[in-house]
Order: sequence, then structure tokens, then C-alpha cells
Amino acid sequence: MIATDTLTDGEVRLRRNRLRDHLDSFGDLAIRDVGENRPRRLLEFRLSAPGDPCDQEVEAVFREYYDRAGARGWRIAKYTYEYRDLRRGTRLAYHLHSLDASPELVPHAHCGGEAGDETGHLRAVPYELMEANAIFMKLYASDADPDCSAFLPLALTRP
Amino acid sequence: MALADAPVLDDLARSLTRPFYSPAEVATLAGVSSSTILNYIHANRLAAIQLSERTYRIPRKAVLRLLGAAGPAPTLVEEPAKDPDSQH
Repeated sequence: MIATDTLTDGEVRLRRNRLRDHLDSFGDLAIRDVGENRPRRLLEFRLSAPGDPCDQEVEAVFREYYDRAGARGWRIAKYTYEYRDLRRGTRLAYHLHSLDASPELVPHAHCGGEAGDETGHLRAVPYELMEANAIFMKLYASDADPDCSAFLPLALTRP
Repeated sequence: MALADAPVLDDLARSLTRPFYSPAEVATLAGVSSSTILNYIHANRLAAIQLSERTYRIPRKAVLRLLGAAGPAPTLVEEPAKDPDSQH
């Protein structure tokens, strides 16, 4: 479950550094920290595996958006955790953001291929970034496609 | 654990071309026992993916780091004044 507590500037930086140290074990990592002086801040971690000098096989891009909460605090506003297997042309993603016009944050997944056989919004629980990375890297290590059929549609259908 | 000098480590980095390695393979590369590698994993000293109860796979970059040939360091770009909603 993702932390929804307010984080101080120092705690955001600590989180950034911890995630850097963790993700760096899985491939080549590029980090962007955008908007620290603005009302909204983005932490982006772009992981390319298996890493130089090997050809890139998969990419995982983790984006966390934080909104200012008080003078020195930050609260998670939304996230997108994306995994793409470039060899297989497949995608698995976990998102937390609002849908349509509602302000409610809705955790959901996307699953499918690059060629347009997306399955729309799928039901998912909220994930912490490292949990999502563990799922993505397990998929990579298994050399398997994501099992998109295991996801239910996001919209409930009641008979 | 740095096991060799720089040229050897460069050769090692080039020779490890698979994305994941088993604990036994890493143990051979590091010159330690498989149980030592498993202890590192359980102590969170070595990153690994658990595929099943007893099956782990260690990512290439973690193997290189263990052997002292970590490869490119992470890059960090800080843009404190930029609006992140305009970023892609």
C-alpha cells in the first residue's frame, strides 16, 4: 500500500535516495526530480535493463507526483508505474489517478501489447513503487508475458 | 566485495550478457558458496527476484555490483523550478 502520509522535504529526498539505491540493482537508472519549488513535484525513475553494454530489453518508468501539503510537506497526488518489454511488445502498468471528471483517485492497471490490444482500465489495488518493481522484474525474470486475463475490468457490473 | 582489478572487471561486465543469474552461478563468479549468496539475499545485501519458494534470480547489475564492477552510476537531474505537469 502506498504511503499517503505527508512527507517533509527531507523525507521526499530520503525516499528518492532509497529508491535510487534499490532500483540501481536492476539496470541502468536515470532519475528526475522536477518542481521542488512549485506546488507539484515529480519524482521519475527510468530503469533500463539489463543495462549497459547489453541491448535494452525492458524499461520500467516510475512517476510519482506530489502536491504541496503545508509549508514544508508533500502528499502523493498520483502515480504511474509502467513496465514495457521491448522484445515481446507487451506492457503492464499500475496507475493511481483520477478518471473522468471525478477528483477521486482510482487505483487501476493497464495490460496488453504495444499494438493496440489494450484492455482499458483494469481493477488493481494501490501499490508501493518497490512492490510494483518486484512484479515487473519477476515478469522479466520469468521471461513471460503479463497475464492480462487475470485482471477484472475496473467497472463493476451488477446483474 | 571487490574481487579483481579494473581491466578484469571491465571484461567481466562485457561477459555477463544475460539479464539474470542463479545463486549458484553468482556463487561461482564470486568464489563463495551458494548458501553465502542466499544469506546475502535474505539479509537484503543482494537484490534478487524470488520466482518461487526456493528459486531466486539475481539481476545482472546486482551481480556486477557484488563483484565490484557496478557499471554506470544512476544519473540525477534536478529541475526545481519546472512545472512537472508540463513534463513527459
